Amino acid sequence: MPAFSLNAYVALSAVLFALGGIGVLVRRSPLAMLMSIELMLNSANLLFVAFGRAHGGYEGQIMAFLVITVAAAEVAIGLALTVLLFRRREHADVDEVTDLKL
Amino acid sequence: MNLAWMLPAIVVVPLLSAAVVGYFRNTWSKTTVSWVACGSVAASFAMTVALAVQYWGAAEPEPIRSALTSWGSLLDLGLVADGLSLWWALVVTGAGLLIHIYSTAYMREDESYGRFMAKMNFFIFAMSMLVLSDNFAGMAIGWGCVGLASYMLIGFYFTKPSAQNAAIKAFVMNVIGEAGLFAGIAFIYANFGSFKFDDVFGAIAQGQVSVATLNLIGILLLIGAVAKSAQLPLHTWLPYAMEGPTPVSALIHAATMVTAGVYLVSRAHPLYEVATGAALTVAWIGGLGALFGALVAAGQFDIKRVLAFSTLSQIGYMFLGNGLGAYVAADFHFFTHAFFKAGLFLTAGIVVHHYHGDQDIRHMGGLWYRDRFAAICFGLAALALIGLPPFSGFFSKDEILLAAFQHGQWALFAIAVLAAGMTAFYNVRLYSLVFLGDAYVPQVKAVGKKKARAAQLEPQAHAEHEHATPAAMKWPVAILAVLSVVSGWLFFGHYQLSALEPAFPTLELHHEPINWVVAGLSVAVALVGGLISWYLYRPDGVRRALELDPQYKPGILYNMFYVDTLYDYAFVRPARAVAEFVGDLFDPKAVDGIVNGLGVLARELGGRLRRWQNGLVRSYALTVFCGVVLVVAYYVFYV
Repeated sequence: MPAFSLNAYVALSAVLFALGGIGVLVRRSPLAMLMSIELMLNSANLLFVAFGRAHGGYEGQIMAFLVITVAAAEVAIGLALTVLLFRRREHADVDEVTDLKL
Repeated sequence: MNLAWMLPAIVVVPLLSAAVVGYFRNTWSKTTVSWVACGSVAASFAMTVALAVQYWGAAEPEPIRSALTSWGSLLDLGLVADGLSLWWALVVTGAGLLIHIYSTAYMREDESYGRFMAKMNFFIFAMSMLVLSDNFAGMAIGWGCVGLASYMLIGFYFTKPSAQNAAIKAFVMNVIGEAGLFAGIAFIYANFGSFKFDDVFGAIAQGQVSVATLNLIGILLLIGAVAKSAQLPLHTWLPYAMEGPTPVSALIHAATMVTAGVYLVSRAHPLYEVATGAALTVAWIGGLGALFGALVAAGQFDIKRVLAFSTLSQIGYMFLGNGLGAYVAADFHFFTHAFFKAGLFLTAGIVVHHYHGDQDIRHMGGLWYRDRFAAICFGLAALALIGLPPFSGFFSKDEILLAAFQHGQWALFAIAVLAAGMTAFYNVRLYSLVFLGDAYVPQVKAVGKKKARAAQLEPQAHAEHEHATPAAMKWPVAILAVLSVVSGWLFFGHYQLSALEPAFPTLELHHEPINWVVAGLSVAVALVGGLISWYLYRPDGVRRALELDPQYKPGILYNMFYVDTLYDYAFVRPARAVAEFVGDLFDPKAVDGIVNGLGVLARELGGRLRRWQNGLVRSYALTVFCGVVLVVAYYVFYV
């Protein structure tokens, strides 16, 4: 495995985070938004692991596992909400879900 | 035998009785209420007599003391029975007992009989607390409680607007006085570090406090005394206080409570002996009050108001005596006045009963032929009030006049003698209008002769099936009438001095025999006043005819020298204007404006802010994202 520099990991992570962020902001499908959020979380994971390796400790990897766990929980709830949304409406467009607005 | 336990009992028994009677006022029968209420006052009176016998029976009278509280501080309240407090407590409980007995008959038909008796008992508690306390704090408690009792009893007929107003008026005027009294007591505590009479007066005797401070304290205490005793210029509540039932007028607004100011000055005599400026003020207020009250009494048409102004005038004499250092004379005049004035009021109650509650003396007349008993008792008490020898008022008033004479206060002496003449004048007028002449014929307008004749006959018709005055009303009146005849010469001289001497250890007391120059002058002036009045108001007198004419327009005397009108314009109307400004403008505009403004502000702000909550998840996400970017940017560029 070629040894990339730390900068490369940081750059890749930043690109992934930006892609995820753009995805959250521009997509209207809840599924796509969830996937974009997952992308942002994983870009952070990548950064954890990369820094962890650069510093020669395990803390980064432990944090990455923690984030994966939290992400799993988040996806579970997010998917449940999405399923309910699909059941109730024909189109699952988050812009149309404004029922709690006054 | 140690009787000190009786001291707290004198005070507490009527209080307990007031609570019990008040609680069971609707459950108990009126007879039970009467027995409990009168019994408690009788017990207090009996204990006071026992203490008096013990005190004055001893070779060297020693004040009897008792603690009322044991908080273990300077604020401990205590009671003391010395010459002065026993002298007063005897009258308070004794006259109180007679008037309680009278009330059992007078008020029996009233549906609130129990409430009345409970309040009367409460008054006896408060007044005995006032006169028996051995410190200013306890006296102030009694002082406030008598004011409360007075308020409750003036407003006894609380459905009558005039009674409500009168009660409020009395309370407000007394609060003005209490402000002065409490300020004076606060100054006393600040300067002497104690409320106890003994400590304070001991320190004054040693000259620890400057005369200027004592004068200030004396004036402040005097403000309280003036309001409570209805002296000028805080007297305006007393005529309206006659809205209360007649026994209340007799007990509270004639015999005892209104004389509390006299007691205060007598009690604080070591202070006034040093504070000569304050003492002279006392004398002048008293002298002017004596003349003012006697003048106004001559112009009133309400029988109880005549007596109220007469009380004002007589208390003026007591103040005059106190201010001139004749404390014994002032206290003696209080003693005799309590009897003849209570007698006059109680007889007035009988008279008013005859006229079914009508108190206007123009509607009376000829009562001598209908109720000889009332006429005789009223006459005896009135003679005592005029101060003719050998009736009681002569002896006590003469001593006060003598004090003015001996001090060379010629102006005050002249005023007091003139007031004595006016006293005779209004008494003869009152007696003649009520008891002599023809019975009042109601004016019947535009009817035939037959009806007018029937109206003329009506009073006689009334008289025939009129029920007799009950014995419970007759006996107290008779006792008071006898006392107003005999209490003067019986106690004058040796007894009165030896009774009160221990109370005034700093004074050189010696018995003054009657000075026939002073006495002769005052009696002569009184006779002249009485004869002029008789000429004007006898059954065929000119003035009588004039005043009984329905067209008659009462003048300055009837309107009490327009003092009420003056106060109305000077204080009541400005206060009302301020209240109206606050109520109609300041409150709705300014106060409500602030409150409503806050509401509008919150609503407007909310209306703006709610646009942020548009329900679009992605816009929320963008907001969060921008926020994160800003936070990160801050950390990157500035930290």
